[in-house]
Amino acid sequence: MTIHPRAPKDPRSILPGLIPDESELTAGVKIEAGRQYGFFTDTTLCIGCKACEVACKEWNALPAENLTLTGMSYDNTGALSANTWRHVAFVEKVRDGKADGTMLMPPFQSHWKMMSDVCKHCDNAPCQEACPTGALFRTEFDTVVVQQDICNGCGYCVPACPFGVIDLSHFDGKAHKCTLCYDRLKVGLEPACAKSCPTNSIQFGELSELHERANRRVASLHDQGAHDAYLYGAPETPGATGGLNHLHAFFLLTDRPEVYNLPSHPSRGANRVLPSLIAGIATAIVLTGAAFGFLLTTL
Amino acid sequence: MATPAGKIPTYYGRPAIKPSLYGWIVALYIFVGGLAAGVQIMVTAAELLAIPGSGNVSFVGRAIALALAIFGGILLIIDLHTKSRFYNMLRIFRPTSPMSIGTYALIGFGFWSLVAFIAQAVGASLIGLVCGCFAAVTGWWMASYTASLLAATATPLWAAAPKLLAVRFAASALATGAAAACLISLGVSANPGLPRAFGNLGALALFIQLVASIGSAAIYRKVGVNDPLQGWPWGPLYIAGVQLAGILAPLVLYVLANFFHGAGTTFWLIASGLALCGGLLMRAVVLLAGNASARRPEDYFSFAQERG
Repeated sequence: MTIHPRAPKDPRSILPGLIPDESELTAGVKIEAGRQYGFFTDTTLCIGCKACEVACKEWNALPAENLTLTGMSYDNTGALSANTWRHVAFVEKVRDGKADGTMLMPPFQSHWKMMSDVCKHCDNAPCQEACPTGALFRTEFDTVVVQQDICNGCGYCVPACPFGVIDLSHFDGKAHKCTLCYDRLKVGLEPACAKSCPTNSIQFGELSELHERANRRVASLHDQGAHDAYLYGAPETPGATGGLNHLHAFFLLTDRPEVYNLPSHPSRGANRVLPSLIAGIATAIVLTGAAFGFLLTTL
Repeated sequence: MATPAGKIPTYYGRPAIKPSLYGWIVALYIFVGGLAAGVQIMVTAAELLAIPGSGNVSFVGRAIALALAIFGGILLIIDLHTKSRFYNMLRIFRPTSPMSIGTYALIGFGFWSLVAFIAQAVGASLIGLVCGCFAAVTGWWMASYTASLLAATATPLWAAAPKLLAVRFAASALATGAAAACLISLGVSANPGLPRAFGNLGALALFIQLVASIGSAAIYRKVGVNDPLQGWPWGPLYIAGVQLAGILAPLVLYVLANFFHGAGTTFWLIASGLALCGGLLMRAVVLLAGNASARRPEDYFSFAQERG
């Protein structure tokens, strides 16, 4: 870890105000409107500490929910929701599918796969394409955000999301999801989850640079013998499929996407609009013609 | 891919996507919107051809279509979770969103239905007919877009067969519209040819719907998303309520009405009642079984596989 040359200029623990372009110090990237930003989540580095979940809840003032044990794993968060915008999945590979309990997993991963899930900020975002009010929009950082003063709670974005991310809050009747810390990006701050991640499993940055970094990481893992490492959601990889060009939050995985509750071939719902409309309207036109035919027989 | 394909794993069997929050209100709207469009199309066709006795039928039909359009709009506003902002639907037009397409289809349909009804009520029957034609053409969109709306989601049961779902919805809209027009004709027209024509059209629409539903079931089985339509509680309701009592029975009765002249009226009455109930039940089963399918990760992951 190198120390940024600007770092010694702000040695105080208590600051008088925001450090300009603080993200340069914490994430090595300057945040400017008109560029594309995102998250690269390297699941091989995740230790399941849930600091990202806590940081997200703290920064975005999200209420607690599900204050019970799921009883199914160490994952008591369960899923992303209107009030939970980071969710750490815990996959315990007890048997690797073998009845005799033999383990194939390398010991350094302690039988666990962990992944901090988040809104993917899809390129061709199905939620945004489904939104009839324009409440969901694409920001100057190429992320996808719900404008709370416009959303009327029609709920259509909820089933439209191919990753089950966006959700309606029953407290206020609006749709909510990760904003990729839109307010923090505006003032040059790295998103809260990435900044709090102690192992750098969640990396914030400019998308093109993140893609290069992620490809280097995959190559390095392959060199070290971890041949199952691959990217999910980078261009031309699983997750960037069916009309989704790429995901602004993409992942390095070491097992099938479904193991992490991700679809292996998600698709863009808007591609199904025109074929179904044409089929329906054609049916209606044919039957209207038939109605004329049947009515003519009465004359 | 990291591991060879086999049985698709899930994450502790938990849902991978969120089900819609749509329930019986939206199911009722899809039925009501389709029925309004169907009635408008039927009575306008009869009036265009100047079928004897069609004047009364078209007036009652237009009144019903207008009332249903208004009722449908109210249902949609009730279903919003922030109802006071219903007008935000008109902020933009988004062609990728069937919800947005449908907003304007419903407004257009309601507007032309209103003008057509008023014109006919004040005796300007030509204006009424022209506006009725506009309403009927908007009705083609009304009858179809609700299927697009469901198909454009990630819900496996709705998205697996987008075209056939639209064929089923449009055919059901026209079948229920024909059933309503058949009942109206029996009530307000002395011409026995009208209920017969509407009944026969209803039979054709039901037949198309039946074929499309059998075809879509084959796709659902192939994609691996058919389980909610087979298991409890939607399976029995779908087979007995929708396919047999809601489609096959009225289809047979409409056809038989052509051969039993004495009992034709009884057949038309029963068939039309069954077709209307079947249309509502079909929408409710598709909607609620779809929500159930979204909660099944095995269905979604099976749907979200690469296919050649």
